[in-house]
Amino acid sequence: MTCQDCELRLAQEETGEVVEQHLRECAACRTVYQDLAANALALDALRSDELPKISVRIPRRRHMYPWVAAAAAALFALALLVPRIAQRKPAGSTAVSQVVEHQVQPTDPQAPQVRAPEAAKVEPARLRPQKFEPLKIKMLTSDPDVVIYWLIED
Amino acid sequence: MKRMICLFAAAAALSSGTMSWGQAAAPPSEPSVKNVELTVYLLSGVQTGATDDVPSDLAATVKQLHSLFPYKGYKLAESFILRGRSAMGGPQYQTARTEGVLPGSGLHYNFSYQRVRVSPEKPYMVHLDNLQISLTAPPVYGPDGKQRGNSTVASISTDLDLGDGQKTVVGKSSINSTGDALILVIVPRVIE
Repeated sequence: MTCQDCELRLAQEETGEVVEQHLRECAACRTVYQDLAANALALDALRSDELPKISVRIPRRRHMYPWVAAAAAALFALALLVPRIAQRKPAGSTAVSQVVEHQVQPTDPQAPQVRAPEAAKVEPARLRPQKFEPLKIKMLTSDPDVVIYWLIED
Repeated sequence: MKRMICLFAAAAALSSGTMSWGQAAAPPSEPSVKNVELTVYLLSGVQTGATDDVPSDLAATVKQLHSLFPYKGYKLAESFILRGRSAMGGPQYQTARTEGVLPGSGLHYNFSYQRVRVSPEKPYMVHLDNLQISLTAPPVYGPDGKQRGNSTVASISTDLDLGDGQKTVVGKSSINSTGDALILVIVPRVIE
């Protein structure tokens, strides 16, 4: 039995004395068999996993109530009236603002200067260039001594 | 004083019945450093011209290529032998590299791999990490003396598993405007 025949039988989940005999002799096919078995186990494990529960909220449709339109109209009218009322202030009125004085202490040159902590320099995250892997296709041939890989890039 | 011996084995190994007590008790063999000789043929699959121009060693390989691809002919551009030593495992790299000029086209080729590893048991499997080949055109310089443009014509970069003595083909289509293919045929030989 050739490796190619063995791979085909393993892919079709066929076993038998001939396949087992080949697996005992061929390390490469044994690796393929172990990979397939691991894949099957992984799929079985996935099958028993519960799907996460997803809660979906459908937003309620909001209705435009008449009182909302009325309130908006009232606010608009108020906005028009307020500047006119403000212009009717008496001419003699003065505005008094509150003044706050700050006392400045002379600095002692001997005193240790405390600096505010500087903001940590944050460098922009560098994207690690990803190694571009072309699609590699292994092609089956009728000659077990010839293996063909074909690379496909976009 | 009692001693307990625990054996862990894959289910497949147990069912096949090949594991014996003697095998289980034997210490794991250390991976030994091996010399690996790669015979590399650089071919081009051409859309024009109906004749093949390859050595007789590659007749079976070219026959398979004809059965799979529509190229009219396959021509040998270069061949060389590269010998390296397998890595013991771990992160160390033992890069092997060769370069030259393809006769006729004047293209410069650069072939390398980062590391070669060999499976501990027969039949040996040879794993090449980061196998690369690039074809570059002769540089073109502008009037200011600076090189103009990217001179890489085609390249292949991949990891590869090869059987000892097996002819492994790595190819890539459409490396130029006429749709020709760049094809590597690698034949590894583990030297003990």
